[in-house]
Amino acid sequence: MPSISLQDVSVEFPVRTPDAHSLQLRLWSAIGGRLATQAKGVSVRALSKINLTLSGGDRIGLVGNNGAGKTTLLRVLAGSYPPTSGTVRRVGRIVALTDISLGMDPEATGLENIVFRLVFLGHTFAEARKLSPEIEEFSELGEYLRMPVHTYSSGMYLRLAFSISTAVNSEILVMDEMISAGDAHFIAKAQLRLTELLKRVSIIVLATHDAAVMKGFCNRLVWLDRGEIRGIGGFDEIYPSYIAAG
Amino acid sequence: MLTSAIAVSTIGFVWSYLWAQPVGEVLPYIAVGLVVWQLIAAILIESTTLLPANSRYFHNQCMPVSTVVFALAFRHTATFFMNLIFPLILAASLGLRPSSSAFLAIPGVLLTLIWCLWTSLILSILCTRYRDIVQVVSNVIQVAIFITPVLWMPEILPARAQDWLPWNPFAVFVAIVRDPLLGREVPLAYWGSAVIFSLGGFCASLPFLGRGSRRIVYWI
Repeated sequence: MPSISLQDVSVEFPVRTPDAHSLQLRLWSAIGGRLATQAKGVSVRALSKINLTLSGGDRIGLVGNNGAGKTTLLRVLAGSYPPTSGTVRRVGRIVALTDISLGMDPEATGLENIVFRLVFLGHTFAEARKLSPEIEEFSELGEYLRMPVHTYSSGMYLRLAFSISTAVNSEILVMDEMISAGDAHFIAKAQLRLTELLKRVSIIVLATHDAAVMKGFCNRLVWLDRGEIRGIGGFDEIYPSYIAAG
Repeated sequence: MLTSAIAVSTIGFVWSYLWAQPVGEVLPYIAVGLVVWQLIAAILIESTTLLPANSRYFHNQCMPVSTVVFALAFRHTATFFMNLIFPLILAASLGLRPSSSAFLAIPGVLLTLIWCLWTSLILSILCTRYRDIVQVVSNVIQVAIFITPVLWMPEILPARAQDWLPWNPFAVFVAIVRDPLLGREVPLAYWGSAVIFSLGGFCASLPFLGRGSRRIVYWI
């Protein structure tokens, strides 16, 4: 059974001034030069003592103002940020869809990019080639798939990225806002495909500002405020106080 | 390939006249040597800015630093083999015929790549933490070509000075790839140094290969 548990997880970003990035100054201060009086580096505490347990069936909505730590928390859950202190325990295959075109190369053709992107999502090359025809068909890009991706319009590019990313097979999914793509005709198809994906996945964590998504899709909201959890609960419980707090 | 062909042939001609040596001997020597030099220098120089340039990957996906280092080495190795075509044609047209010792260039390339891999891995991390090392590295590489037998042959040095060459990794790795291809003999000391520099350093860099370097994501 997939699960994630965070115990007292904190994340601190070192804020490095140009001085802190200099080996020369570091050496000077080590041998007691006059420059030794420079201030110690500052750090930003992006998350502070987060305790959270996620298990199968969870549809978590992360809410909070800009800078509250939503994206940082997503990245800790996905494993790209190691916590400064505390522990993360993760069971199950996790995929982050925080950047749906990660691994795509503008110089390569659409077909090559399907394989590249799938490999980035954790598939082997053999699996990627097997999944490829379905994605080619869904994307409706036809002959364009044989052309380099930099010739695409940004809408077509996004449509390809969406088509590939939604073919992912994972137990835990992390997203920054609901992903979407396409023109009026495609968007309905896209929605359907996304819904199917979300049904397959056991745990979903979604950072969102969209009240309709929070209400309709999430079964639990986690309210983050300046790096701390202010509240966990259902929409009716959390959302009004989140809005009231401003 | 074309730019490399123009560069190696002009430099090769000018330097063979400067050293007053036969063009047929100096031109392929400089041409092959420069291509190997470019492989090493390009990987090392690009590694200094590699991690900030690829920060998007590290922020959005859990992956080891070595992934982008391997990609970097792979890209430059492909370019290297392309660039190598012209100097080899040049050598053949000037009457050089490959001998059986040319196969020694294969372990030569492998050892060179292993050395480039771990050196660029360490450099990429070090240069991300201390940004002023980026300039130091490019300066060192600029100077290194003058103390490395690429544009000149080691034979013009006094014997005592030649003994020091195996201490210069650039000299060692350029020689173990270039010299077998041109039928020149590689002293055993060079192979010894190459193995120590590449395999020894590789073992020393192992802690940086996996999860040991995870916190770097906060520096980029």
